[in-house]
Amino acid sequence: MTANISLGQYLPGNSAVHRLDPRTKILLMVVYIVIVFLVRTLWIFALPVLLLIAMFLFAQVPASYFLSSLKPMKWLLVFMFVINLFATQGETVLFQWKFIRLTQEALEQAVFITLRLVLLVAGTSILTLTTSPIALTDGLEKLMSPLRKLRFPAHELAMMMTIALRFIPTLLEETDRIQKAQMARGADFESGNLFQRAKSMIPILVPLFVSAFRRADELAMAMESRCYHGGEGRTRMRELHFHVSDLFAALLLCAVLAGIAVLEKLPL
Amino acid sequence: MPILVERLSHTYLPGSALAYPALSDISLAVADGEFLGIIGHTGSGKSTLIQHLNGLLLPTDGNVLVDGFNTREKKLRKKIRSLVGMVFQYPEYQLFEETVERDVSFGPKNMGLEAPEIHERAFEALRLVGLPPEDFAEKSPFELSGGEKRRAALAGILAMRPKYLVLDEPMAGLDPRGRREILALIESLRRGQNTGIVMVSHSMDDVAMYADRIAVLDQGSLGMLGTPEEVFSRGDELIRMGLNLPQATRLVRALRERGVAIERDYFRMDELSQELIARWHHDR
Repeated sequence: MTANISLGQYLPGNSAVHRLDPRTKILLMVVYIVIVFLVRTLWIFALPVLLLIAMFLFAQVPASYFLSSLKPMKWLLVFMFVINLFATQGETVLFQWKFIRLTQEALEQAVFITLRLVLLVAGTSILTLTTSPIALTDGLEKLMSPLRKLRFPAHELAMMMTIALRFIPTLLEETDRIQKAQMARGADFESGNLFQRAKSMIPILVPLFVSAFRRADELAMAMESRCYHGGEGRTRMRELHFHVSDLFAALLLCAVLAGIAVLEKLPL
Repeated sequence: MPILVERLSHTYLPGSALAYPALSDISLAVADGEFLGIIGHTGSGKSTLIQHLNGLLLPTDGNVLVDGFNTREKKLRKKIRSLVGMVFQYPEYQLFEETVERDVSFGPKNMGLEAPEIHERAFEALRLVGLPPEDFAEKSPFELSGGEKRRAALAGILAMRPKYLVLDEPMAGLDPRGRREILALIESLRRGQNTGIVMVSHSMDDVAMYADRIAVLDQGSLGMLGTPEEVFSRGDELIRMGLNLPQATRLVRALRERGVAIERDYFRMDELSQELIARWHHDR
């Protein structure tokens, strides 16, 4: 049950996108999100779609990862589509049966929202697929470091994220182990109503929390015994550097952004 | 009726790019009251194998029959899990209830027993593992010491009165005294209740001492299956599989290298020490 979680997964590689500076990737992801929200006309969606395809090609990520990034979202997508289809007010009625009304505007709105969500999820999954968690938090720390002047704990926050990411697989493994141990004692997680099922999780959750706290304690001890004392005066093993390719990537996305801004303003 | 493992193969994530064959073509049987030791290098498939014995994992190929019940049949799984008690590595990490008695009662409760019977079994199991219920039943499992926690967790399995007991390194992380106590407990279950025992262990000495038969796993296949004499007489093969020999066997080898003529192989320290003492008396 725990093996098929692809959200936030990292796919090691050495493509052009993998080699970009993590800071560039994080900032460009923001630009990409702006692009996706800027589009208000259906045919202009072709641009971000092309951009997404280009990103997948440059990153050398198999198309199957595109689908698996959407998999956990499938019910949300369907839900959003249906809600928008029937809850949007509109003039041009396409179809009416008793109180069910389907309008042109509603259909457009539903397609818009769904397409936007797909583009957002698939696009941002490129970031996590091509950037190792360490590089990602390094980049975030660097980006947040100007805020240190305002006493914002940039390093500590990045460290917390690194640790959290590092322990996700460990905790999944632990959950699996505890679940099996309780199943061996005849625990049943699959039958019963919602309340009974929630209650049957207690034998898993209690040991899981106990061991999570124990691990946190041990880790803190191990870090302190290696003289960890936060971000003050800390140097890094890997320094981040911008390259020419970062400039190209930035120019590409800015060009698309400008293009869309212009196209949306033009009276077509 | 025994546990029968018939031509068992198991592949993790079959059909995907990450498919990983963990076990291939394993056949063995565990008779009533038999002690089967399982040894093998890390990653040889020991844990995967034992998780098949009560249907936590299902074979990709082949079958596992517990007293004739096939683990593939979903309806029988509860029955199978009450027949085959499973003690995982570091079982103390599965404790979760507010009191020791309630934790030990978790298994019997899941079996659908009546309250008086559950109570009786819980107390009996606690006595068996050496935690007198008068002192321990009302304690929180989290205030026990490491060794006591381990025994409380073990009681949780024994309260189900399993016909077979499968243990994955039950002595890991215990001090010598804790090890002896657990081993003595396992041995007394076998003598007293005729419980069939399957024990995974890294300690060749423990397996040599207690097991009737030993299964050696090597990269997912059954490398050897036989009595301790049969298995440990093939020392060079074991060493090639990344395993070790019992202390007694190593001592015999070392003595022979130094020219001491010892006729037969030994794999139990108690027998070897008797032999050596006899020789010493004889030489004098």
